[in-house]
Amino acid sequence: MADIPKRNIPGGNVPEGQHPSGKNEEAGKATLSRRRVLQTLAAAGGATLVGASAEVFADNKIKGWPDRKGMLTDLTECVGCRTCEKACNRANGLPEPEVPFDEKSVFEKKRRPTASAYTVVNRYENPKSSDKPLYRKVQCNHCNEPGCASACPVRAYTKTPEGAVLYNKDVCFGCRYCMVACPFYVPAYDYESALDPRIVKCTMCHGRVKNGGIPACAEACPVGAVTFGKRSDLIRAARERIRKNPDRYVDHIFGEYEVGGTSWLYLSGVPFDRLDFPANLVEKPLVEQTKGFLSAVPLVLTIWPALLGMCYASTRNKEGKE
Amino acid sequence: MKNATVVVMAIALWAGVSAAGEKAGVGNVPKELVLGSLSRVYEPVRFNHSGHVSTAGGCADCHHQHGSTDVRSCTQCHRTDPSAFKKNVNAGMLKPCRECHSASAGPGAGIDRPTLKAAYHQACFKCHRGDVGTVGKDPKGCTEMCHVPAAQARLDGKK
Ligand code: HEC
Ligand code: HEC
Ligand code: HEC
Ligand code: HEC
Repeated sequence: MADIPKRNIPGGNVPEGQHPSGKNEEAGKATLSRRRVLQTLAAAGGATLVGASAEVFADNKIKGWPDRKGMLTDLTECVGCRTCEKACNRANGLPEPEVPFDEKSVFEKKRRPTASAYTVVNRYENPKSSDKPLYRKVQCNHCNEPGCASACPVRAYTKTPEGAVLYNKDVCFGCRYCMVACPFYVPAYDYESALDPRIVKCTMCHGRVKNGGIPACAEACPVGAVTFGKRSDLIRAARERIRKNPDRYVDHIFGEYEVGGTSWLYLSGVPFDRLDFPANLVEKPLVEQTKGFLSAVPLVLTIWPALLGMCYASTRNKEGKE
Repeated sequence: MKNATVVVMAIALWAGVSAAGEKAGVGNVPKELVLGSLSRVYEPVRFNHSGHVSTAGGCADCHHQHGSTDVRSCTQCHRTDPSAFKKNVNAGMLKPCRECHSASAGPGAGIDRPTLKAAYHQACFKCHRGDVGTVGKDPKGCTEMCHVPAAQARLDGKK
């Protein structure tokens, strides 16, 4: 407990440009050292014990990144072609889907992002015109102040200055608190490899963006329904579209304020709850709320023995494999 | 609003000019166009331009030349004959979409003005979404209606 490591700022966990999944996976594979997990736990526990406002999380750093990037999905343009899904799949080296990308039967069920599909497009009835169904692209929204990061006991999540919320699978031990904490139900657990715990999700193509590129889905979208740019520019442009076409859009940019704001923004022609966007989200970041809870109940300490047990088991599995 | 301004300007203009410009008729309207900006992924698309001109009944559905950055005088594109002003657009003055819509997709592209690919598609999907063709209902619509994947076209050619 005495050996409390320097509390690095968000971004410290994931080496520059490292893709937390996919192709770079092998290259970025740092062996999970049990000591490291213990240190992190100790740090988190220690901070809570001392009662200092545990600055382990990604909050309030965000205001210093005015140039951070974002995405704008204009759902009035989306025609449900699933080109974004395909591009995402390729860019992240994910396996080909069982059902081909041009197969419309996938729209019969509402899908969620999974370990092998970081983004999915769902179909909805159009109340204005029944022969023009509506579509909603779903992926991680990259919250400004991510609830997943605040819930994670080992700081596997980091908010990057570029706007993406990244995930470092090497420190994850599979507690799945992030899945519960996410207001959009995004992080998906990779059940395929139960021995190698791994939560996976969209990275806003952080590697491509770092190299001056744009996320694969935005590049691929044939109708300009997904665009990438500075978040502040996107908000300005979205307002402009609403102003110019008041009949086309509902007067709301989803993600501008929800849960403290998200990198991913949306425009829609119908109220957002008709497309299963969570309604009545608070405008305050979730971090602020969970933090109160976390400092009141030293959560990590309470469940420490259980966590250590899990850590130990997962580490042993890993070591056994290597 | 925008239309109203344009019309007011048009009226002002008609008052000031004589009925010249007979030559600036509907000439030079392409019959068929080959749209090839995506040839890395798809074979070029053959677009029956003159067929569309008659179905659309005008040029404005696709060639929106107003409200753009274009500041040329009206007579460059329009005949000044009041009875034919709207419909008689000097085709030679219409620019291809790519002159204003960039094909590159860097950060910020397509925020204020659609990229070339998006401009084409948005223009086409004004009509081809759920109506003619299956775009908007079936992801296969893209290949059924217009696009032949590049590799497949080469295979078909070999057969
Ligand atoms: C670059 C070519 C170009 C220039 C310059 C241009 N127009 Fe047009 N204009 C068009 C096209 C193309 C149409 C669509 C014709 C059609 O209805 O198919 C059009 C249509 C119009 C219409 C009918 C609009 C409607 O909604 O029915 C008006 C009025 C008009 N123009 C006025 C003007 C005035 C006034 C100017 C000068 C300020 C001008 N135009 C300059 C190309 C041009
Ligand atoms: C259904 C959509 C549509 C309609 C309606 C339409 N066009 Fe076009 N037109 C296009 C497209 C797409 C292009 C290709 C532009 C490019 O290559 O970037 C084009 C190209 C052209 C070009 C060649 C531009 C160049 O220099 O390459 C001319 C001239 C033209 N159109 C004139 C007209 C005129 C005149 C009308 C009305 C009588 C008209 N078009 C109506 C879609 C349309
Ligand atoms: C003279 C420059 C210019 C040319 C040529 C041009 N555009 Fe545009 N276009 C613009 C500008 C500027 C905007 C954004 C303006 C706005 O917000 O009204 C725009 C916006 C658009 C939009 C989205 C907004 C809307 O009005 O629907 C579409 C779709 C579009 N263009 C399609 C086309 C197509 C298709 C062609 C070729 C047939 C074309 N444009 C040729 C300048 C141009
Ligand atoms: C103003 C509405 C309208 C717009 C805009 C429009 N289309 Fe069409 N298109 C039609 C209609 C209506 C038909 C069917 C009528 C017919 O068979 O002649 C059609 C038929 C077609 C066909 C099949 C028949 C053929 O011409 O070979 C293709 C391919 C096509 N369009 C492509 C396009 C493309 C590409 C664009 C955008 C550049 C576009 N359309 C924009 C109305 C439109």
